[in-house]
Amino acid sequence: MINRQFGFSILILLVTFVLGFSQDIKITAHVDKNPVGADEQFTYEVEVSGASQSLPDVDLPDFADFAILGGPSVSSSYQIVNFNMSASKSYSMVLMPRQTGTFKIGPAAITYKGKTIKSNTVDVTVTKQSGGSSQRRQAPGRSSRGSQNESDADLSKVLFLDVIPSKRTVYVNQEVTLRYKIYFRTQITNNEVSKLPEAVGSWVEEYPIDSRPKIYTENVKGVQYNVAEIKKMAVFPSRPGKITISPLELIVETVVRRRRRSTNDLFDNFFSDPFGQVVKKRISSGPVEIKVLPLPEAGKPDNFSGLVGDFKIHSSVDKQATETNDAISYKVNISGRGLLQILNNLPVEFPPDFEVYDPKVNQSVNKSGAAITSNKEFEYVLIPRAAGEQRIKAVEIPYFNPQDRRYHSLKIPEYKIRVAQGKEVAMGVGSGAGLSKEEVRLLGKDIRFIKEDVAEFRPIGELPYENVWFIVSLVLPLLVLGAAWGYRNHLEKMSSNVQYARSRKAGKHAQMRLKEAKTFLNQKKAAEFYSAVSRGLIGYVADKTNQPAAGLLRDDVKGLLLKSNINGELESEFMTCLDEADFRRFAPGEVTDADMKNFYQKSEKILMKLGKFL
Amino acid sequence: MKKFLGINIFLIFVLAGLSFGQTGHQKEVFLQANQNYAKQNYEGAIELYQKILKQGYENSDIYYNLGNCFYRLNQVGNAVLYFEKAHKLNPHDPDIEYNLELANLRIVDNIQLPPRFFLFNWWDAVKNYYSPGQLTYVVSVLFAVTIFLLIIWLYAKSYRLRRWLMTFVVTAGVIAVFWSYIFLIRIHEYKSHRDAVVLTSTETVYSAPDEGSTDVFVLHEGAKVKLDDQRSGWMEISLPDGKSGWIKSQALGII
Repeated sequence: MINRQFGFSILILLVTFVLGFSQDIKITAHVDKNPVGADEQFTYEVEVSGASQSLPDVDLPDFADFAILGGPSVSSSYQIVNFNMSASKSYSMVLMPRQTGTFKIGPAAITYKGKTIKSNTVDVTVTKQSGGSSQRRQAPGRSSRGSQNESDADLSKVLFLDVIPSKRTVYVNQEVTLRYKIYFRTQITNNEVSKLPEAVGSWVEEYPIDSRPKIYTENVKGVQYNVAEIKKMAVFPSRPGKITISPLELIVETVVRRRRRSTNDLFDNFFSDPFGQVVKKRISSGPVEIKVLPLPEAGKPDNFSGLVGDFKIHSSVDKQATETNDAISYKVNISGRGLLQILNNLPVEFPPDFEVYDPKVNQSVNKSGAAITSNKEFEYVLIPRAAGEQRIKAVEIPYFNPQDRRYHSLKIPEYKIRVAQGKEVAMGVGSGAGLSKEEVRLLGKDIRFIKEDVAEFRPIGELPYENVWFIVSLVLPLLVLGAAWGYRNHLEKMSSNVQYARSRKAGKHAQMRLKEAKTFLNQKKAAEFYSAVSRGLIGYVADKTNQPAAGLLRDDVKGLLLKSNINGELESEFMTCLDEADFRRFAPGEVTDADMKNFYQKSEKILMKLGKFL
Repeated sequence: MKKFLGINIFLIFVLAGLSFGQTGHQKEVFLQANQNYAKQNYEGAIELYQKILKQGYENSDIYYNLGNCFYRLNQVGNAVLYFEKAHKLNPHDPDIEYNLELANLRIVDNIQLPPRFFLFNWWDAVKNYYSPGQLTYVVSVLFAVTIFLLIIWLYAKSYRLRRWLMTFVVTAGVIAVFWSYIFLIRIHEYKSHRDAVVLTSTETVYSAPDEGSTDVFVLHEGAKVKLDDQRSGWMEISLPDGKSGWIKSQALGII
């Protein structure tokens, strides 16, 4: 019971499922061969079927691991069976593996009524050898029959690709020329590049190749081949080390003739398929390894920019003499073997008075010769802004020549350009910008007039302190100060020091007495005259020695004189003079005028002499 | 001793008299040059002014007038040179300052001075207020005033008067010592420090006294530089902003 019920329910489920399914769309993918030989082609097919009349287009998967030889080709069909319409559409692609291994071809997809329906994925195994038994089982492809008996080794004997590098060891940035040659002994109907060589870390230049390459014959290990150079390229490795240039891969359509194993059959070639079979064959040149040497350090110039090759330089200036604000053209042309891409700008130093615009650079690469030659032209436009002899300094551009393995340099000579003062058009613009308000105010003004008054002239280069007046002006006040100081000291002593004052005044007092005496002399009063002289003489000694003059007797004076180290002669002279005065004072009768005059002169002399000692 | 001093003083006056006597002729030439200038014969005026200079005499007026002549002839370098020479001898003449400023406006190089601490600027302003020639007057007048006050003080009787006088003496003395010190500095600078002006329209300054050496910078007519060193045909110069190098000496006019 339960079983029956269960079975019934399944039946209903199935019916509904089938009904629903038949209205839906089915998408399946498959390949015609699996496994596949590495150099065989196969067909990948996606089939879409459904009840709908308009089947959607298929989004094909990515065939990254395979080379697409053909397709997609679309075929569609309609069927009406028992009033049920069904349509199917198939997409087929002819593919060829790139490498051996197992690869997954992703699902193809359609979008139908807003839903995305995906097909199954297909795993393809690629073997070195051709697909073997599976080949026969699958629907025959165009080429499958041809390659059935022709072994892979046989084909590579009649058809191969080779690459010949010009050098295996190069310096950085030195050119390696790679020639790709196809060697063949069969008829090639078509060829197609499936993979281009890649040289990572290098600059690659392609040589032009005729679309119909010249075919010549070459003997390889005793076998004559037809050879065509199908590709020539130049590789400039940009860093030292080892670089590998990946192989060039071609897919070649060639005609092969089926052969029986017994080659002694005379009619074999004749009877066996005289037109042969067209076979698609993938051939590879094989990678190239190149050893890249670093540039030698010895003799490497400081400003070396990495230029490698063999170059020539030519430079020119369109005028040697110009005016300010009149443009000059400075041209430098460098050409030769090697790449000039590295040289972005010239290390030229222009005088700061030149306004320099970015150079116009023309660069061309010539590939017609045996090696790549380049040509680069720099054209600078210079506008001199100041007059004078301007120098564009000589420049050396170093490069490395791999031929002689030395550093050389390209020399631009020095150019001297005479710049005359042109019309001052730009002056106001150039200098006006940095001016302050104050300066702008002055711009239109004129200088003040010369000085017309005659001023004193001074000797040139005279140091200020060498001027006589200056020295006088310093010395004179000092002298005055000294004098003033001395005089003040004198005055002070006079007022405070009695001895000093008396001593300084002694002469004066004595003089006064003598003057008094003279009046007495004139009046012929002999007694008064002698008394005055005597007082003068005694008073002088008293003043000089600071003794009270009043009570001073003859002997006291003598003692004072003896005390003050006066020589004996002067002392006795003084004493006789004094004695004479005393004597005459009290006996005045017998004196004459002449005696008095004589005596006056004598005492004057004695006082003068005494002044030097006391 | 007294006799010797007397002879010295006598000699000094004789020499001073001689130096006065010789300038009579120069005055005539100066007036003649001024007339040439007024007639716009600037070359003739320059020739006559230079004649006085060649005879070994100078003053700020000759330099100022020469600067004017060169300015009129559009020789900015020489104009700046002679205005600077005039300014050096006479730092506070408004005419000299004005014309120098105008001449400097026509110079290409605008040398930016690095900012300085304000005290240094004050010090420089004080220090350069007088020319060394003017400082001789300042110093001798201050010296004389100090001595004069000191003499009065010597004879002053009243205590209060003496006290007052002493403060005056000390003040005058300090001021005199200060200016004497500045005078000594200026004389030292005068002997060691020299400025120059570029006379050619463009002149390259090299890193060494050799035309093959690296270019450091370029100077134009009228640029004022400081001289640091000298070698045959070359002078080492520096700019107020610190740049320095070697320049051909024939391109420079020394202030």
